[in-house]
Amino acid sequence: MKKILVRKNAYYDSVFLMLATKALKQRPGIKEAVVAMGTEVNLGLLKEIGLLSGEAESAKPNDLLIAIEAETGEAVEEACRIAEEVLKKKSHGGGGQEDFRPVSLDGALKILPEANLVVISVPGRYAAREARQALNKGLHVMLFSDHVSVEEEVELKEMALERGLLMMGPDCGTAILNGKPLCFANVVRRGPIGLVAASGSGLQEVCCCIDRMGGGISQAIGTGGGDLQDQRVRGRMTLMGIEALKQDPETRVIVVLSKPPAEELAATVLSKLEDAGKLCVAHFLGRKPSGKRGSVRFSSNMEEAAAMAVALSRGEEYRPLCFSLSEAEVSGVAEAEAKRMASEQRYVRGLFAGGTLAIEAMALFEEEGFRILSNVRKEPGLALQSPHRSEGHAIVDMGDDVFTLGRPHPMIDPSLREERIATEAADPETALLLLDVVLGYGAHEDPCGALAESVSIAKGQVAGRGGYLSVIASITGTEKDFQNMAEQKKKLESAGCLVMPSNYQAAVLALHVMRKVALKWM
Amino acid sequence: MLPTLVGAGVPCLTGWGEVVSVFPLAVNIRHSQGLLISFIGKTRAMTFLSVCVPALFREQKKGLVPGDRVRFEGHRLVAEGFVLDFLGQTTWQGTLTRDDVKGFHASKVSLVKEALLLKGRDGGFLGLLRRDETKNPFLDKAIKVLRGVQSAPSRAVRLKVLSGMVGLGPGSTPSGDDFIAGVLLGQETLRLLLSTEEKAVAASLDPMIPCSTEKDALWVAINRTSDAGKTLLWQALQCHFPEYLIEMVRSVSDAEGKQEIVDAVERAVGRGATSGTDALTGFLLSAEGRI
Repeated sequence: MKKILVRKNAYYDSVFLMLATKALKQRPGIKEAVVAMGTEVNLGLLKEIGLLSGEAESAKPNDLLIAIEAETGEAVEEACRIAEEVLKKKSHGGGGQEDFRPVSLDGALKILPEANLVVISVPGRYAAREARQALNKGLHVMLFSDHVSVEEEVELKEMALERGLLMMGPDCGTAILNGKPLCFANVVRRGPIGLVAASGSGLQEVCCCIDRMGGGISQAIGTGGGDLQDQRVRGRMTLMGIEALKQDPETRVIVVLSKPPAEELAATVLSKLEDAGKLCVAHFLGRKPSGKRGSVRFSSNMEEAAAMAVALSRGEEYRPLCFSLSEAEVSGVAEAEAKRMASEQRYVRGLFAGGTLAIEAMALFEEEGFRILSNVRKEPGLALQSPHRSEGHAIVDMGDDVFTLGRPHPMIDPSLREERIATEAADPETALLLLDVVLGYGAHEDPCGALAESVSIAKGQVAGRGGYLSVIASITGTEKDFQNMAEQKKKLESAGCLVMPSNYQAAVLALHVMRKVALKWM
Repeated sequence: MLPTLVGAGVPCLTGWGEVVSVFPLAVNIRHSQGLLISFIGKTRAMTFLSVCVPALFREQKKGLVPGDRVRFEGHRLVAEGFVLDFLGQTTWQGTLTRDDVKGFHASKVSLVKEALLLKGRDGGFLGLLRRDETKNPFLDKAIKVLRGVQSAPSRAVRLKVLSGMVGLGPGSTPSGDDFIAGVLLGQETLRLLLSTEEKAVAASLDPMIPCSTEKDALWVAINRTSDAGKTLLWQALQCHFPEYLIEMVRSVSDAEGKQEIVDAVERAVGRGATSGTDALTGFLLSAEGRI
């Protein structure tokens, strides 16, 4: 059996063609495979040997011919299918074009015309223009860039709403759409829980907790932190996200998550959730509504939001979350940690890569009466005088602009946090370090390995002057993340860290330790 | 963005071109005359119609994709998003000089052949040298053409028969085109040897070397092959050859031992799938006086 394929105006590199031919020849049942251009002399020759037929007869010198001879019709068809696939992949940017990266939206669309979403990560001043272009082309946008003005954010979100498109961001670092992780995201199980979040690390934390509890994610839509914080933005994308999840048949439970939202916006979101006709969980950091309102349940922390969502997705009643250590164990650990500290050690220092994780820890400590200073607080008397130097109890968001200007985010490059750990260890008043580690796509390949080394050095330094540095951490990630969760945990533990299963539990344990420390001072 | 080397043929072009293929270290542009002009990232890939501009590849090809239009304006080239200015830049001729060939003794021809038989890649026209039994219809056809060339009564007829190999064979640059480029390189090498004191190879081969009008049949035939083949032959007919072939001739000329020749041949046959092997096969048959 013989067959000939024609590819019009094909410009492939010859090594690729040689390898493709070799691969075809090695297939079972293939007697001959020839790849040649449709030149006059080649056509004449193929005709002589009976291989020329149909479309191939009118081929031109720049057309590629693939002639296949096989023992059976099936073998010929299979070889043709494979050849088509290989050539198509090549012309869509695989193989010889593998390192080609377009630098404009138009360039990218030429390579992948079927794309329907654009991730934009360019300096802030250009970001709005790029997003506008994408929306005008009918593409959903995930705007990773920050430093976009509120006016531009409103304009872009309005444009998106008019066109029925998602406009995630600005400053949107994570999303999972139809199982596809975008930017910083974890490998999680698919399932019936859909999320909308105006919080990047918060979204990752809840997704990972859901995965750990055996639940699964249908969609995780990021909106950018400003969506619910600024009255002018009016939660446009959160509301659209809820609407999208309402219409998504895969989603049975909707979770909305946000850093402290503006009062009126929170009310609008809750009304929208109530109208969604699905079971919902809302978690607004810094607010403490409890119980439920219509179909909406309120959680008091992110891990609880995950647990509620998983229970609802299974048609079960939510039972309050169990802490991974018993009360006695928590008390024992806290006692032991505090006991080893020197008399001058008295402050907790939280060094966070995730902004929402920092806020969650901060809120817990404050509820217990601790006065926490931070680089992300604006209230008089609660803002750190310098973000680079801790005073008193301090929780620092190291992903804040002041640290990331001109250098990578601490999730990508842990070096800045390593330096800060050394600085905190040098302060004789530091009692406890509270850390978060975020795994997943986009994050450092071995974040715990990098941190473990600096934690060991810091602990040694404090021990050298007769004290003890308590270090408590949590890891936001799943067993399926490429960094290998179990190994990452082991690395931190071997450096003497107490590793808890969630940010909430890490903060609670730290709180117990600090209570014991505080007692020493009374 | 400045090119580091400009093929001397490029500033002679005017009119439009279209990007037809983009590879990790090369972007090919089809000029309206059907010639392929290449932006390349490494000088080893230079030709008379290439521009070596490594910065372009560091900047991810400035977003060039197949279908993009490029304007040739003689001393400069305008693409969407950037302009390449050739004025004052070093040009590259792609021609052999007497210095390149002066050490090319007759004894080296057999060493090149030995190395080619050892290192050459199958799949193209290496069989013309091996004289193997073959089941490859392209090679069978090439053998027939070669027999015709060898029995032709005059140089002009010889080249006319040889033009039957234009566009023949597998690959995006048909093997026949590479082979003919190699033949022309061999003839150019002999011409230069004749004009130097080193006549050991060339002395008896004078009748083989064609004058330009005798290449007419090949000039006509180049329109029957692919753009890649046409571009190669368009240059070779004007005695401009790709850098890898010039480097091979130079290295063989300078070689003091067998291993250096083997290395030079090995580097050349690494070009493309069988392009290097096919061109060297043509070069050798030409240098041996069999064409």
